Amino acid sequence: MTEHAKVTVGVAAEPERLGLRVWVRALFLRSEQARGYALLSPTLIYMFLVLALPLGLLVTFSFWTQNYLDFDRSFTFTNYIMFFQKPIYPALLWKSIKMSGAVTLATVILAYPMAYFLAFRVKRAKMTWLILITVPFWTSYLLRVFAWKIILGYEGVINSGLKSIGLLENSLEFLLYNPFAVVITLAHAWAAFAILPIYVSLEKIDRSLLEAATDLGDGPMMRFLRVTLPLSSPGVIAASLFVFIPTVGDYVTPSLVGGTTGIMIGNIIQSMFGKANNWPMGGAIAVISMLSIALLICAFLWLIQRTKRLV
Amino acid sequence: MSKDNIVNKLAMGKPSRRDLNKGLAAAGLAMVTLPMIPRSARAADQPIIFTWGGYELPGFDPKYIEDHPEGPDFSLFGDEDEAFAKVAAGFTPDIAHPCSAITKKWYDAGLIQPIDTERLSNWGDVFPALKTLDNTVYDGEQYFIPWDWGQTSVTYRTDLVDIDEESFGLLWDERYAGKLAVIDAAGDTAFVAAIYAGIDIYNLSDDDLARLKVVLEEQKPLLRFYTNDLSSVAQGLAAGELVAALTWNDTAVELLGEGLPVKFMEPKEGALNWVCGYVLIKDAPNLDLAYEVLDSRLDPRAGAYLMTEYGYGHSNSKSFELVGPEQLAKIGLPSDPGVLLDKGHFFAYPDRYTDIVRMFEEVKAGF
Repeated sequence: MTEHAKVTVGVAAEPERLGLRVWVRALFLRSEQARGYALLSPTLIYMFLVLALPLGLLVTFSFWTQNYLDFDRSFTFTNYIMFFQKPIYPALLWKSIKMSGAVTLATVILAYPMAYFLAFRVKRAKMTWLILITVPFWTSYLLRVFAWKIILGYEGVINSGLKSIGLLENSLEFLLYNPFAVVITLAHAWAAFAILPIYVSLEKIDRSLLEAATDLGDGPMMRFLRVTLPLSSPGVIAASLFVFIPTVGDYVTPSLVGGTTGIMIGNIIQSMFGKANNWPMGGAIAVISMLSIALLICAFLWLIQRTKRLV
Repeated sequence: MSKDNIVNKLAMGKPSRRDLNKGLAAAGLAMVTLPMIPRSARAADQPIIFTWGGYELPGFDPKYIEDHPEGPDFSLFGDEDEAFAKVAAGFTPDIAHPCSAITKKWYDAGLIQPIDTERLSNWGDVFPALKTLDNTVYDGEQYFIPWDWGQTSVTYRTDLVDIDEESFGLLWDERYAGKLAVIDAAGDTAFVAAIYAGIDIYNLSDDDLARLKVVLEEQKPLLRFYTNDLSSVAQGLAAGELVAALTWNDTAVELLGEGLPVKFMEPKEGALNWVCGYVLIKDAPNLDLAYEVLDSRLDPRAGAYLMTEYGYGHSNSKSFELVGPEQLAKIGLPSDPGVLLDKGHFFAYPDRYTDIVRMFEEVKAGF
């Protein structure tokens, strides 16, 4: 403070500038909001540049049209009308949402016991366990998808394993290149994003509540249903959102393991920006997908609020 | 402050704040500047070749590497549209590697400059038939240096497939349902479907487009997958998961090299031929070296490497002498691309390409 005082005295020769300085400083010190935003500003600027700006661009050119190399910049709803006119787009979006729903369900159901074990059973070396869970995520996403190709493949681990112990004559072909393979691969690829939030919310549960439930006569099952599960619901909800939102638009996994039937909306968007060379249409499909997902999430959260109130 | 001094002070836990900061600043500065020194001396003046994955091997630039041991720099793409989009968005390599048909788009977008063929010592040995391809010469100036040529056709297992004559019809043969695959690109698969069904893809009416869609829809249930990952096709063919698939020359050559009984088909309908090559980017930062790279890629040694490793034809006639007729017969290449170009269908983008792509996407998505 004293240093600053000296500086302000030093520039006192310029009263106008001084006034502005003092005013800015006063505003800064008085307003918690200003300080908050100043603290946030690097992140805010970054987010604006890499998130808000491209998103704005995407929305903007979804109202344009493209012919060969140039954008026709006149404002039009053509792309949005096209989306609902052609049955392919809404149906594919709906299929992607269903597939992601299946992925989310599978991931959360598989992740919950793991998180439960970590939170309640592991007493020592918890850090090691956590690191072990994240180990697969040190490799690239693409490598994990390819790993599943190797596991599920025609000459893959499952098929050759079953054949070598004599359970199979010919390789099972239904393991790979269908929606089922997409769901399996995605459920594994996103597992860590489900385990960690559920683990955190389980870890936070006050153990005395569980004791109380036991004292009041609840068996392990009732205790889980009436205490543990409701108290861990924030983690479960967070996990569902973490998994559901990114998987709807995924295109790498379906294009690698989806075969002829496992295609999703992300593949169409990708081809619009690539081969089909129709960025505005791709933009419109992306915007509609985002809005649909946002609406679905809102509905999901609203439903949860309602059920909570009822309970 | 001497080295011992620091260690002693650190050990006793009392370097002054100022000393510690000085040391940290020095270490930090060293970390930041060290990697810059060798890099700036080396990479700054090498041209960038923007090419398909797999063409960055040193075998393709024998002459250039003799003169410049560090070799050119590379940036890789997976398909032509991606390459175009990236350069159109502002990426400036020196040389890019599209195919002849799409070169028109690069020219129209003003991304490329004419190539002075007098600066290429090997230009005289290039097959004349490849010098005047459609879409590659504008106002008498060469914008495209042909380099590799090949075919899109069917690679099939001779031991698992029973056919009387070679035809694209194999990809619609219900006996092999679930054991067929095609390339996930309208430029290959829809084109071949049109050839198979006898539809003229360059004069496509709405009825023809609908007919082509039906042909592709008939094929879909027979397929194991659509893919751009030709290595999974090679694995599938090797394992017997697939018995026939639409591929380029290299898949067949790779499998033959492994001793598998496969053949790269010469369909009675005529295969789909294509020529790819190099274009010079408009504001190429290293123009002189770029010319050296171009010339080096036309070198017969580079050509021989391309033909024996990947099974594609080279544009330099001298490369063929280097490879020899025996090897040529093994990889199934004629000794003159003219023979090939006259016989089959040469790939060019049809007017209604966008409609075809959209239709192909609809088929894949099941509509």
